[in-house]
Amino acid sequence: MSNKNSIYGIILLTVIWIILRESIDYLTVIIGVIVSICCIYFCRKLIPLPKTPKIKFLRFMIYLLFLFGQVYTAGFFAIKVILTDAHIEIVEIRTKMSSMFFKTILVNSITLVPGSVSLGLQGDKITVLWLQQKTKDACGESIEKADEILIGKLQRMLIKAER
Amino acid sequence: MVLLGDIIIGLGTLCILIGIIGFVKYKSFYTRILVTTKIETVGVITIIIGVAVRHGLSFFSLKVLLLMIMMIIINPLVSHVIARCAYLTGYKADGKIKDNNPYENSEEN
Repeated sequence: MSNKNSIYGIILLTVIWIILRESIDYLTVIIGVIVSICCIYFCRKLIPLPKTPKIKFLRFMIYLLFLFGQVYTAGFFAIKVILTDAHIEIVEIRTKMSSMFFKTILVNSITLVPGSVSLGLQGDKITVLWLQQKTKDACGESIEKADEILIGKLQRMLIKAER
Repeated sequence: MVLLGDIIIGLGTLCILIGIIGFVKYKSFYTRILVTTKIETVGVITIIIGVAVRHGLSFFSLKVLLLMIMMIIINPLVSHVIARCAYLTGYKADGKIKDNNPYENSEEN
């Protein structure tokens, strides 16, 4: 772990310590910093942060907000599907992301959005379990557009966040 | 703020109720896991936001929001692992079990 990442880690852990201690006096902050330094020191070999690619912070925050909105949009659609008639499909979609870090974020985002759970990531291929509304044409057209429906917008926003 | 918080908590509870209806309604494993993922994400996040709104800006709200962040990170991983385990075992979308493993001859990471 680089020095810059260590400092970010210490700040984050100290903030969590203050929240859990429910006080912000000097003693709490000092003990928090010492405990955080110890944690980072002993775990430095376990956290592979130097491999993390550079991220455009603001774009990434916009992505997280968009993902939060998507969770609710997909949630309301899932309610409709659950109350009518559900149909599940295992589809394979391809991602354009190059870095493994962003691919992992994309796959986790797919699982976080209600109505889809990722089953595997192999190279550029993502296997997704997909909840759909049952239709007469057995969702044939939807499967062809699965890439766009499942990861289209998320992927475009994530590419913008990649530096 | 208390009333608004109560309304948001009520909406979250309604989401969980619909999820439970779906869980009882569908018998397929994959449909059930998709429905329970919905309960975890939308329902629980809404309830946590409701609790935070109800208590205003305090350490308690920050603790609850910290819990929400943890859940947002951990939930997809748990759902993914359970679903993947069934998929690798050979469980198909129609509820039948395949004889062969889909990754038997591939170099899956």
